[in-house]
Amino acid sequence: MEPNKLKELVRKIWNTKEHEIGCEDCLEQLDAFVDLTLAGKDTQMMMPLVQQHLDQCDDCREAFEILLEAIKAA
Amino acid sequence: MRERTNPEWMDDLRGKEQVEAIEDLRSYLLQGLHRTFVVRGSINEQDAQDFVQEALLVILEKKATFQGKSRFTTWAMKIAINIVLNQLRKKSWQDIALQDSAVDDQSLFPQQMINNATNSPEQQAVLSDIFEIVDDVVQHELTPRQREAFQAMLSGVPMVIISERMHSTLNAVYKLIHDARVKMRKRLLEANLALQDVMDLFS
Repeated sequence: MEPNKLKELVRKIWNTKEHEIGCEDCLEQLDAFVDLTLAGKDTQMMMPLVQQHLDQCDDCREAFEILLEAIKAA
Repeated sequence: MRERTNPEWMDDLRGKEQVEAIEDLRSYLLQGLHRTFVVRGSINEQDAQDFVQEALLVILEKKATFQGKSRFTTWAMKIAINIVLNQLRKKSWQDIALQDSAVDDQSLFPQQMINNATNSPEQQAVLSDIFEIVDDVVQHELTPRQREAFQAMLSGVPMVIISERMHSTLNAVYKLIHDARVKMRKRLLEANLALQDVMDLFS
């Protein structure tokens, strides 16, 4: 495992919350989250569970970043 | 592409404007996939067209479930991107068994790996303590399914692959890994490690 991944794992464990949503729940809301992000809204305040999930899940984070880029490009 | 509101998209996709609306949507999705996948060489132009066709079928089938919490085009792009990502992830891992990624009966975090993470002896000492605990939790406190999911995640296996191989769902696999993290965090708090100090130094 790369050093950065090791640090990332410590961060994820440390930032674990008792209640977190799963990937399907996150993906369900990802389009709304992206639109809020593009509108410059405070996503941490408006959709905290999605934000928390994206901080923990690399796959959903990747989907978020690609969707954001695609919407900006299209 | 003609600008449409969400209700206009809904009307056009089922009315006499359907052909034009579908072609507009096809062009929009292709632009998105081109920018994010084709220019990086992840897929070629023909793949992009095939993925968009697949996405259009899903979008038309599911459009009644669209709740209007985003722009319709963002919702549609999300579907197209998920189709591509899932396909790419499955292709990358198709010949790799999940157990190949697992580590048995030895530390998941060798000292050399910890030493490579930082040059500071103080941080190395705290990291050693942290990963001794994490390793102990993995070996002795996780259920077999929690351990399997956590180790696969640690090895970089995508969630969609873990859920398929474990005959489970994405939400259920995430829950297994989340429960593992909860146990680890609890043990780290009990050990009273200067974890926040470490995180501050990393940031």
